Amino acid sequence: MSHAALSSLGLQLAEGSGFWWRVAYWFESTDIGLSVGGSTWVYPYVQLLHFIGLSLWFGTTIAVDLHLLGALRKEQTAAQLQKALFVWNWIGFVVLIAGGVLLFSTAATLFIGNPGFDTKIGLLLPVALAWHVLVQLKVRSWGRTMNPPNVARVAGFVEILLWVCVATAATTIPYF
Amino acid sequence: MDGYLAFCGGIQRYPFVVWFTNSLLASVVIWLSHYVSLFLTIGSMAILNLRVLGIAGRKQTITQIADVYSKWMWVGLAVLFVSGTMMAAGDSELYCTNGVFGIKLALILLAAISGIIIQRNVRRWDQEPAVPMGAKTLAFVSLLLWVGTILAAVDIPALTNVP
Repeated sequence: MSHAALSSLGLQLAEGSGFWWRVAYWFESTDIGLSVGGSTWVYPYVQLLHFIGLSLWFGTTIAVDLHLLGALRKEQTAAQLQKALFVWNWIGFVVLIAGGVLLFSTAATLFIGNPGFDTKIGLLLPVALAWHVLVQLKVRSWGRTMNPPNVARVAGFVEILLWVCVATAATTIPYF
Repeated sequence: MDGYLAFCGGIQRYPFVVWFTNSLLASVVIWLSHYVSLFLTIGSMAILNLRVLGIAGRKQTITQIADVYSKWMWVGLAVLFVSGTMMAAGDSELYCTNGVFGIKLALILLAAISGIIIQRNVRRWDQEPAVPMGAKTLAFVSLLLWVGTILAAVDIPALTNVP
């Protein structure tokens, strides 16, 4: 059997997840996927990019949540703090997504079938992100005083919990 | 050298270390703690350094930004240290002789020292008409040290095949 026929058979056997699997296969076969995954030097720098984005995202998001929970020194309101961190919060998000997409491109078909990855990207990340946007919008009214209402404290706690869940799902990816 | 390697080998065979290395739940909790505390610590230091440099949160004083992060930055660093020690203990034989890991530890130490110096001086810098150039240089070096810490961490598996 020729190499091409074997590859085709392997493709058919591995295929089975339909549309998303084919998208993943295409993505990891692009020049981007091949160059990032095939280089000893590029891959760590892409990881670095992802981790820098995550640091900015976590550092700015959790700060506002902790403020809502009353766990920070209160020399400013939660609304003032959020305003100060807002731009860097979303810069962090853009950087972490850019790094994440590049990491995904290195082994997209493996990631697609991974329960940890699927739970993180398909469920927890959209929920946490939607909650984050909701909290950011509401903090403008909740966070105008030094003592936010109880609903704000619950919202801050839930957001921390959601991001820990996202991080937990991400941590389990290598175990599947 | 043989005594040092025997000592390192002994760490990863210690019953408690064997237990959490072989426990899926314990491993996930340790890795999770390490990642979350890493992002919390570096994110906090990055925002403080960016404020000293005059790039982030310019409507707040440096002290206001430092007060937001002062407690959680050190909580994060403590969790980072404990979880990192546990992770290294599980593969102590490999980590003891890993040069990149040694560089990472040195960078963390220097980055933490830079953080202490910055936190001790923020009130003084706020009283000056403009943030001194020395403070900005220190903040820039601190940022580089934290970036270097992450780079050394991701380079360990990439360059030395240690997990």
